[in-house]
Parts: sequence; C-alpha cells; structure tokens
Amino acid sequence: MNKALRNPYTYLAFIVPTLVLYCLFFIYPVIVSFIYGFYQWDGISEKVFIGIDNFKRLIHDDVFLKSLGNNFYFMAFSLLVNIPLVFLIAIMVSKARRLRGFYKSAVFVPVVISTATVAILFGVLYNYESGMINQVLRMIGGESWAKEWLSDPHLAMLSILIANAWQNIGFFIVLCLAAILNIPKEIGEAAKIDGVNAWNETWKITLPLVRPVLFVMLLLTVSGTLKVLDIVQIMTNGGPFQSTEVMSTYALKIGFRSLELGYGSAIGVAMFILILIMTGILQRVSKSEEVQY
Amino acid sequence: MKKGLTVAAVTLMSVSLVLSACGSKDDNNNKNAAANAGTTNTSTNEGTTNEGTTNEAPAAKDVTLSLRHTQIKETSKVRLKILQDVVAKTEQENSGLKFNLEGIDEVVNRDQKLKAEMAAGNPPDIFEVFGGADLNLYVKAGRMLDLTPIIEELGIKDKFASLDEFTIDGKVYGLPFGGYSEGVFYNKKMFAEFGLQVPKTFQELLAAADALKAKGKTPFALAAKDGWVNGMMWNTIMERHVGIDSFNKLLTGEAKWTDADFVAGFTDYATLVNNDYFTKGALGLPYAEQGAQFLKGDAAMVFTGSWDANRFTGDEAGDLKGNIGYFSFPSIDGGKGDQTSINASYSNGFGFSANLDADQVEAVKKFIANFFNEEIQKRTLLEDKVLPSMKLSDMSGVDPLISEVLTVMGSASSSWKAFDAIVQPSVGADVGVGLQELIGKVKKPEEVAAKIQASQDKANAQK
Repeated sequence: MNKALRNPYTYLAFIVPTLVLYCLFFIYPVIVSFIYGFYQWDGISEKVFIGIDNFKRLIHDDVFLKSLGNNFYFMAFSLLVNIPLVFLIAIMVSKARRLRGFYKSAVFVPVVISTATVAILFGVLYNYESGMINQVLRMIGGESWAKEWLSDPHLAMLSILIANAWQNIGFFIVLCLAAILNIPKEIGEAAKIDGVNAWNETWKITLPLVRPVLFVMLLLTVSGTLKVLDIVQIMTNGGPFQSTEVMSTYALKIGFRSLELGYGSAIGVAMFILILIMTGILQRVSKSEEVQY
Repeated sequence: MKKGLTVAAVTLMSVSLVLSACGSKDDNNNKNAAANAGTTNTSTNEGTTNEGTTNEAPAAKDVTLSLRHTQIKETSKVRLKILQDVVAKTEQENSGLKFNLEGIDEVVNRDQKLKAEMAAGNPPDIFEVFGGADLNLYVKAGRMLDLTPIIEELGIKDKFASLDEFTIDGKVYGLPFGGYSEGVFYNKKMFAEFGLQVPKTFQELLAAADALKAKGKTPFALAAKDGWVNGMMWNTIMERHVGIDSFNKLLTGEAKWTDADFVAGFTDYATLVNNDYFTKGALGLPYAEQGAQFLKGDAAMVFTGSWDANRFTGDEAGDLKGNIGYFSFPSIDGGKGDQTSINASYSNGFGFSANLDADQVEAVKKFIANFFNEEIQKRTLLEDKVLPSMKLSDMSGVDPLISEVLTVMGSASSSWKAFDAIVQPSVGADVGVGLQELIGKVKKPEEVAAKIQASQDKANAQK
C-alpha cells in the first residue's frame, strides 16, 4: 500500500477525472471560442473566416460598450456600497453579546435562496401597480413617489443592484465575521487598556487583520460582477431597450437569438481576457503586503 | 495489495465516473444495435394488442424514439395530456416501440438546445420546431426528415389548412399541430358598460381608447419586457401601412425601414404609446402579466395571439368568462397593406430527425397517423382551444370565444406570417429594441427606423 502511494501514477489516476472534466468543460470551450471569434458563423451553416473583424466591430459596438459600462457600474456599486456595508454589519454582529447566531443566520438566509427566485421575487416587489415598494411609497408620499423601477432605464440597473446586494452580502458577512471573530481577544483587551476608542479599534486593528479576507471578497466581487448573468437575465433581460445589458446577456443574445455565434464568441473572449487581467492585477496587489501583530 | 491492482482499480473507478455521464449515449447505441439486429418490417396493427407479453413476442422489434416537447407549463397541461395519450396509444398498438418523452422550456429549446443539437447533428428523433426561418436553416444543413412520402402514403397531405411554413422546394419537413392568429381580445362587459362599439378603423380605435382612459381604465394591457410581445401589435399596424410583401423587399434593399410608409407605421405605434394607452411600467413586466391585467378588469383590450384563448376561457377569467370577444385589428386609412388581413400562421409543429433508420421512420409514420387526424385535432380544439391545423368537418361543442376567433380568421381577406419569420434574426432583435425605445419614449419613430435600417443593411451585406 505504501509503495502504491509513493508511485506518482496513483496520484495522477486520482486527478484524471477532474482533469478530463476541466479540459472538456473549460479548456476546450475557451479554445474553440477563441477560434470561433475569428469567424462569421450562424452556428449551423459553413463558417466564414473574417480575421479580426469581429473584434474590430466590438470596439465600435455601442451596445457592447454600454454593457461593459454596466458591468463596471455593477462592480463599482458592489465595491463601494456592498463591501463597506458587509464590513459594517459584520462588526455589528461581532459586537452583539446575545443572539449572535440568530443574526448570523438571518443575514445568511438570502444566500440560500437561488438567484432565479430572488430575481423573480424582486420583480414582484418592484411591480409598478401592485409592487410592495411602490405601495409603501404611495402611502408615504402619494402617487408621484411611485417609480417604474424596472422599466425606467435610469432606475432599472440600480434596482437590479439592490436585489443583487440583498442576496450576496450575506455570504460575505459570514466570511468577514469569521475573520473578525478569529482575531485573538488579547489584542482587543490590550488595546482597551491602552485607551483605544472604538473607531480606532475598528480602523487600526480589525480592518488590517481581516485584510486577507477583504481581498478574497474583492476578488470574488470583481470576477463575479464582470461575469454576472442570471439576475439581469431574469429581472430585465437586458431591457428596457438594452439599458441594463451586461456583457454576458449581450453575448447570449448575439450568439443565440441573433444567430451570430462568431461575434458572440468574440464577446465571450473579450470578457475572458478582461476578467483575467482584472483578477491578475488584484492578486498581484494582494501579495504585496500582509499585516501581523 | 499490489501496486498495479491499486492503480487499475482507481483508473477503473475514475473511468466509470466519466463514462457514467455518457449513459444516455450508450442507450442510443444499444437502441441502434437492437434496431439493426432485426430483419423483417415491424408488424402492423393487428387490431388486438398483446398486452404484457412484450418479452415473449419475438416478432416485435425494439424501436425507441426520443420525443422533445415544450408542454411543461401549467397552462399546457392539457396539450401534454393529449400528446401522452397519442404516445401511449401508439406504443400499445406497436409492441416493442418505445417513446422517450422529454419536456423542456419553449425558449430554451428554440433558441439554445435545439439549435446547438442541430449544429452538432444530434437532434432528438421527434421535436417541436418552428416553420420559417428556423426550419430553413435546419433543412439547409440536411438535418430534417422529408415527410412528403409519409403524408402522401397516409393520405393526409391535403387535410392540412396550410403547410406553407414547413414546405421548402415542394417538400414537407414538418407538420403543424395547431395554428394561431393575432388580434385584439376585448372585455365585452366593459365595452357595453361604456357604450363602445368594436372599432373598424384606427380613428375609431383611438376614440374608444380615449373614452376608456377617461374612465380610468387602461385601454391596452401590455407587458413589454420581451421584444416579441411588442412586435405583435406593431407588426399588424405596419402591415396595414406597407403590406406584408414590403417586408420581403427589405431583404433585397427594394424597400427601406426609413421609407415614408414604414415610418408612418412606427409613428402610429408611437401615437398609442404617447397617448398612454398601454399599461404603465410595461417595460418591466413579463408576458403573463398582460393577460392577468386584462382578466383582472384593469385593461379593456389586449393584443395577442389566439393561444391565449385557452387562458381567457379558463377559470382564471372568473366572471369575465364568456364576456370576452375577439376582433381583427382595425383598418388604417391610406395604408397600402391589406386592411382586413390577419397575422395567422401554422408554424409550430413537429419535425423529425434525418438520422432515423428505416424502422424508426416506420414508427414515426404510426405516430403521425395517430397524432394528425381529425379526432385528435378536434380534441385539441375542444380541450386546449388551439386552432386546428387540419380541416375539420364537425365543429360542434366549440367554445364561443374560440368560434369567434375562427370566424375572424375565416373572414380575413388574407393571412400572413409574422415579420420575424421574414427578416434576419439580428434585425428582428433590433426591432424588439427599437419598439422598447418607443415605449420608453426615449427615441422618435424616425430615429428608430434609421437604426433598424442600419441593422438591416448590415444583415443584408452578410449573405
């Protein structure tokens, strides 16, 4: 038995299934998408090689640029609103003396619900006539307060972002909370003896110590928001008039509804490269410094 | 334990793990092997069936057919039941024949799954398919079974109301199981209450809509989240202005979206929008909402296809049951189209894979004979309220709304298929966006027309 474990082929045999699946469902699609990106192809009839025309078209495609912008809006919102909120709630929960378990479960519940369900749920809440949000607003401020949440191009994206935040922050809070509770108590006690106030404790002790977790959150947020599909697809399907289109919904539409699989692949390739670069930069940055007390 | 044994065991396990994912493929191979193993033709119906003796019937061969349908929604339970009954009957009459039914979502099937399978060359044996552009593509790729000899042999070729959308170069590649027409469903009760008549002209329609709005009702229920929903009414308005033949000319460049007639069509649609005749917040609503609003009594009319008739005569209609009528969209003065024509088509049907072997084709013939006959068509009309694709001799017991729909359809001067079956898919998608822009009041009709023309130019240049 020991001999077998020393044989490298044993280990190879164990990872082969995963490797095969990984190649089949990741490496292979990525490679063929790269190749399809250079063709004009409707998915069924003959492919026509057109060089980098698809990628040239990409740069001048208003809708693609708009969807790219929406992805960045998505990312910015998640980074600037969600993450601070996550940190705030995590600290509040960590300070709670009683019912901490309850709070923890409460914020985690939305994560357990599937995104499709959340999207439909919020669709109902946002309904102009009968949605709860508008009904409450009408009660407070009258008819003029009611908003066309999902059908006004200025509000639709924000409405999606709120729904997305509601669902996603729970996971991050639990992550962050675990990191905060992991900080040795002595540090907090020592600080208290030295007369550190709550603000400084949070800013100078807690935050630096949960840095690794913050970077994980950052990484997940950046890659997650650049590839987001489901919640947008279900809540607005990119509408009204493509104002909430994100890269993946656009790629899907171009590839399968307009039957331009070549161009759709080119969009996919652009997404792939973009996410690769962004996460690459982040990882570089995160390695640079680590704090320890 | 020996090293070699460990390695072998692990490898075996991992390989079996990978292979288990391909289980269905293996089934297919077995099926073909089994089908090829037999020699004689399948025995035809002997009147009696040998129930429960499949194991002891050596003459019967095992033939399996996969059947993909999209009747998975609550609203299509009835249709699924009819299909299941036909399948059960066919299986019973032919021992050894087995259908594997698989239901998936309509849009997923049409836009993703079936298309991908067609590209790869492994569609299901029997599947739901749309005539027109979709079918054209699949026939060009050689994926569709030519049904002409089968329906000629069964003698049902002339029984269909129309096979146009499934006929390419004189050959039939699919059989419609029902048809539809598009028009205005209206709340008869509300019309009577406000003293309104069924409008015959666009001006009368506007007047009626104004009257309804003055009473605090929404004239038209609309859920505009999905492009095709908006396309329905717009398509009819456009046809009234330009005539459906002009849509064909867009592909050759003889006509342009920016021509005065086309712009007038967009303008009339924009008029309805700008007068606030549609549901507020429509752009955020999914399709089912518009029917719900209409049935709730918030809206007086809804423009949709006859497929909704089933819902409008069902329990959801409540006290509106029996109080819903149907009329063809009114005529538009000065328009160049056929003013009393209707968008009607028999485009949703069953197609069959070109990969079938002789035994499977034989089984398909049995299925067609059992599915496409007057009895099943009548049942579909009565239970599912789908307009029959075959001519029926007996029309008794039909719901009044359905017979109204059939009357409107019958009295139309001509019928035509929807624009998205004519123009390229990418243009169709851009029309959807353009209409949403009109509904959102962010673009003028001229701008929308210009943008769609740009998309049309691009699409025309590609072929």
